Amino acid sequence: MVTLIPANATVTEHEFATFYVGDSLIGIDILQVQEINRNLELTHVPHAPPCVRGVVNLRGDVVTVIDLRVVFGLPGRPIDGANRNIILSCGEERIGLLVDRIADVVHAKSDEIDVPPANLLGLSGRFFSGVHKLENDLLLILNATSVVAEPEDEATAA
Amino acid sequence: MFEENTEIINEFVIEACEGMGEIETDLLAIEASADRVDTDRVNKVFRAIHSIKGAAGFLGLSRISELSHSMENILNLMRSEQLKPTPSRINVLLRAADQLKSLVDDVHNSESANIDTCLQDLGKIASRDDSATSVAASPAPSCEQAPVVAAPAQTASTTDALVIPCRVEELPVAVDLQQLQQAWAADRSVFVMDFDMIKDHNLSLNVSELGERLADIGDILATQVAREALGELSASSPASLPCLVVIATVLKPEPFARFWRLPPNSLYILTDSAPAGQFRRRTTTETPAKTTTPDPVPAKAPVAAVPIPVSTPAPAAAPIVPTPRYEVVAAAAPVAPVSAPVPQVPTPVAHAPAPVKPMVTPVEETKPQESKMAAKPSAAPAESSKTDNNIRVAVAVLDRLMNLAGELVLSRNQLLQVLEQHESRMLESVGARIDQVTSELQDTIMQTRMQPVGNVFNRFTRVVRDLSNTLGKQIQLNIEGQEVELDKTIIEAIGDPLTHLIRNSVDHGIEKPEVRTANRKPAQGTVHLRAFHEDGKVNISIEDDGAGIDARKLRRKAVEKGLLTQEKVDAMSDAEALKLIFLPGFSTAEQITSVSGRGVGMDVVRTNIEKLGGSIDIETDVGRGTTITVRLPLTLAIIPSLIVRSCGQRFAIPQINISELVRIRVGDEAKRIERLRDAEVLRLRGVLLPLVRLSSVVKPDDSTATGAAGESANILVVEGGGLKFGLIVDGLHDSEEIVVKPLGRHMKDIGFLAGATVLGDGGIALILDITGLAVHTELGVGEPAAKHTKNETEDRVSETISTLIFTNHPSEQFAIPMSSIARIERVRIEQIDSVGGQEVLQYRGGTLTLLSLEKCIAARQRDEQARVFVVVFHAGEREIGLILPEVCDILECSSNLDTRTFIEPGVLGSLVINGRATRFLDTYELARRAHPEWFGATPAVAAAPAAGPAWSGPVVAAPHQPAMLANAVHSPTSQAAPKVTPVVLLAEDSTFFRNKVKSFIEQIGAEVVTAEDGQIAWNILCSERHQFAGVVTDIEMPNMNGFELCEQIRGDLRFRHLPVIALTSLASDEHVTRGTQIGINEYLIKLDRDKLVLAVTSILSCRADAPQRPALV
Repeated sequence: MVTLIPANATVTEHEFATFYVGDSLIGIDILQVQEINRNLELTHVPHAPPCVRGVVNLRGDVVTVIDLRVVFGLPGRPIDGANRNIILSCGEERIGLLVDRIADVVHAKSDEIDVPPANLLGLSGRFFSGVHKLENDLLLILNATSVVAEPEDEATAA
Repeated sequence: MFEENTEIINEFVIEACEGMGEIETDLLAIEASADRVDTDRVNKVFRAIHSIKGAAGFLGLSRISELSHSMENILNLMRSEQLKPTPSRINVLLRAADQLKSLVDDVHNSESANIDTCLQDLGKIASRDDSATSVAASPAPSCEQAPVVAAPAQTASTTDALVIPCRVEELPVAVDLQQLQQAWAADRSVFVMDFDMIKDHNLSLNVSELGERLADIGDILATQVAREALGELSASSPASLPCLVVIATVLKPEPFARFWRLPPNSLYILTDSAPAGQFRRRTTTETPAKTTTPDPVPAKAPVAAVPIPVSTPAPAAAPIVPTPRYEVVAAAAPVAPVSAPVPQVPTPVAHAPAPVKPMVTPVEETKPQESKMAAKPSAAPAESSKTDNNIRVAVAVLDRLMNLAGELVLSRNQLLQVLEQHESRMLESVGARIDQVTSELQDTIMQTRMQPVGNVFNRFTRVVRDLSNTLGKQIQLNIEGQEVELDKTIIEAIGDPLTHLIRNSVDHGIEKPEVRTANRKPAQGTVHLRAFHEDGKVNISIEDDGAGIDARKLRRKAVEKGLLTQEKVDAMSDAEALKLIFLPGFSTAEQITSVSGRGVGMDVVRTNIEKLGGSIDIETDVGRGTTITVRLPLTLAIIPSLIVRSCGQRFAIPQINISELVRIRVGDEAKRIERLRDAEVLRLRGVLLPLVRLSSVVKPDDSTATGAAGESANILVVEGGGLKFGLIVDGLHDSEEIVVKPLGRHMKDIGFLAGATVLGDGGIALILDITGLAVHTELGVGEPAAKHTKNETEDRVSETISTLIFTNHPSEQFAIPMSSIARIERVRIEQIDSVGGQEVLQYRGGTLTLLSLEKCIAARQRDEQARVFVVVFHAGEREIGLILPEVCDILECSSNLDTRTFIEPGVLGSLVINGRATRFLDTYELARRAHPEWFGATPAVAAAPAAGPAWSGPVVAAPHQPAMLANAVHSPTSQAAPKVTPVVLLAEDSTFFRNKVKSFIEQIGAEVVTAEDGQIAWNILCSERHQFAGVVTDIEMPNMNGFELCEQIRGDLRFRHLPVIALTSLASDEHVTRGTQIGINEYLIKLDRDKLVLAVTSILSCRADAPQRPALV
């Protein structure tokens, strides 16, 4: 797992797109986000890994959508109007993350981000690269690479 | 140093590869016509090699240049018919071409490649001829060249070379003096072009274009590009690229200069009369050059635009020692060397006065350069040539694409306008236009990817030639259909599978010449390679006239290798056994040869072809040969598919995997779908197909998915990976041409999905991979799954007929035996014309007479419908169609017809099918009643009434048949029994068939004695109350079946001569074979009246010819 803050590195500024999954506020580096949309006409793919909610048609391309609730071990939930699909570009492929609802964009300096606590709110800690304290909330920084990793990588990582 | 001009090198590689593409074919053709040298072809190869040599020289690729030079020499001799293209010589040339290709393919390492053997071989050819005909041969510069060869005086001049300096010191070039003199003798001018390719860019040409244009106007004698200069230049774009070209042309100086528009001082003319000393002659002696003192005196005044005419000295006879290398530059003759034009050049070339220096450079100094050359490539990582990423597209196609793109933009603008103005009525026309433009655009883009299959086929001539030589076989390869086009990806991918198949045909298929002669076949075997279009697919067939594949051997092998059990292979038909060769690990070669037989073959071939969406089929005829047919889609990008529904989701199944659709109606499910333990199977024409419910694959946890009763089932019979099975889906949608989109990384391991596609409504359908699905559902790939259940069928159902069930008026159901149907057409009602009360259909360029059921028998009028079916059947020699408004099903029905309830001409009887009384129609009778004139009262029939009681009912027969019979019966040989009606014994247990067949036979004027089973028939025979002309028997009968009856007959001296015709509803190959073995003369399907009549007539006429035979036996 990669931590964003080497001890004595120069301070860099980051922007995070933030969203809720369950009660947790989670952020993802905005540079990794291609777009956020409501395109959630999902087509179920039989025998896909459980975290894959389905595929959507994104302007002619077939894009995998990963349900973050499943990734974090939360109970599944039907899709409603608040749900959003965050499209990440991961190399050649684009992958969507299904989130419960979207929140603000948060600015944070790299020295304001802490190492995630060992026991992270009951969620799988390995998906997070850091924690940023907001005024009245805690922003978990998502390590996108580990979330969209191929199933077998995930298995070995776990 | 190559990195700098990678682009130029790559271009050279592409050009060279294209040039070499056909060399092989041409060389083989030259070999084939060795007796009469095909000068055009030799020229073609010569030119190809020549331009490679030229460009390679330009780029300083000395190995390529050397090799091509040596090849060129030999070709030159062949061209002038001084050297015969014998197979061994062509062999050497082919090998050289291979080597040349590998040099070009790996151009960056070409300088370090070892080509000595090749050069040596080429040199030997050239020199052998040299000594034989004492024709001046080329100086194939081989170290091991026999020194003797160089001895004759006249060869001295040929190895002489003239060294021409240039403004850049590294660029001296050596010109073969003999070539120079030839050029002069032919009254051609020899020009030296000394220019910079980058700076003098008014040429605006690249190397290969330049080479091409030069080759167009004359013969390039020598070329050189400044490699060293390149090395110092920046990586991105070299600032200058000096080069030197020596060219002989018929053009005069002035037009030549104008043609090239070269800067001043860069064009010189070489003449043989000009003052000596301008250029140094190179000979082969190793005298280092103290003699070569620089002569700084500029040459003569320019001729027109040409700066300086320079000249060479007359060749001097010098003692010659064979040259080890071209680079050896030394002057032996008392020729005053070089005067370079360079000093005049006003360009700021730093070493302007230096050109002389390299001239005097002895061998030693060239060495470092050489070793540098050799060292460089190893330092630079080998960069493979990327020729495969390029494609040639006709400009016309590109123009069309441009036009279409323009059209599309226009249409888009129109659409936007329409949307803005809310003019909905315009929308339709705009939509139509966009539709048209996009489909044209798609077609055209596809076209750019299409390549002729000949690109792959051409290589096989060589494969077959080399292989047959190795194996000691004589094989002729015929290629047809090279022009058929396929998508580039497919062309690239089929090379290996096809090579394997061709090798198989050559190695396993075609026998050795002695074996062939022993089998009375021509010693030379033939392999036909053919490509052709069929049903929107490309078929490639490989047909050999070899030994064929022995199914027995395959069975044995499969058991030996432990791939299958003995019982399993025994149960297989020959066609199934043939498919064994596609099993992994299966190889039938008795001996494993280097050619094939490593057991990794056919299964890989099949997998690869199926990956391309293709299929492969084998047909074989033991002793006659084998035909392998590969069917390929035209393109991979778009797949015609059927969209199906399961669990509310849509799936696409490629059409190529679908062999038929079966719909099972509500209530029939229990009858058609059976359970063997947990597996569901479908009984389809005597074969049990394993069934897979797509819903159980899509939603494995959902128990309600299986066996949902009370619904009609749609079953797709699909085939993939050598396995056939039924796939139950919830519903069928349209056929669509789908564009394949890959699935994401998370789903790449789902074997039964081949990808996804976006449908017209924006939804996504997953594409099913049928082979993967079979694996997923553990159907056991590799075993022919469709097990024959004939015995079982026979046990359960005594006798069934496959029948077409239909309604005329919805309330009345009818049936026609499938055996009497030629085909079924679907037509629009407008296509049916009524002419004088007779309905006809314009059909296949002719007119088909139609019958309406209600006009023939007592039936209710059909409802008017937009489309109807027409069942076409043969009636005598003609075809006739019956209009059916609604086809219900095709069913296996019992033959136990009720022949009493409905008695009417044209109706065979009735049966309760699906709870409804169904009348079986007699198509023949229907046709006869509608058109008695076709079956007409021909005069021949008149002879028949003597038959007496046999003629129940009206006199009917197909026109020609009674005539035959009458003649036969009354032929002179049957004088002993004039007017005797032949008697036929009919054994048949089913009353319906018995009556029917009886009437058929009676109609042709024979008497019929019937028996209810084989035993009764035998008893009748033994009683000898009748003199039988033949026996017609059913196969499946109680007490004694048809086979047994036949065996009895054949085993009895009294009856063994009797012709026996067997009738059956099951004409499987096995039955036919068994029947033939025990002596059944004809094997016919029941109720095929025409064939029966023909067969009976023919046996009766034979009998009539030899009436005395029983007595003789």
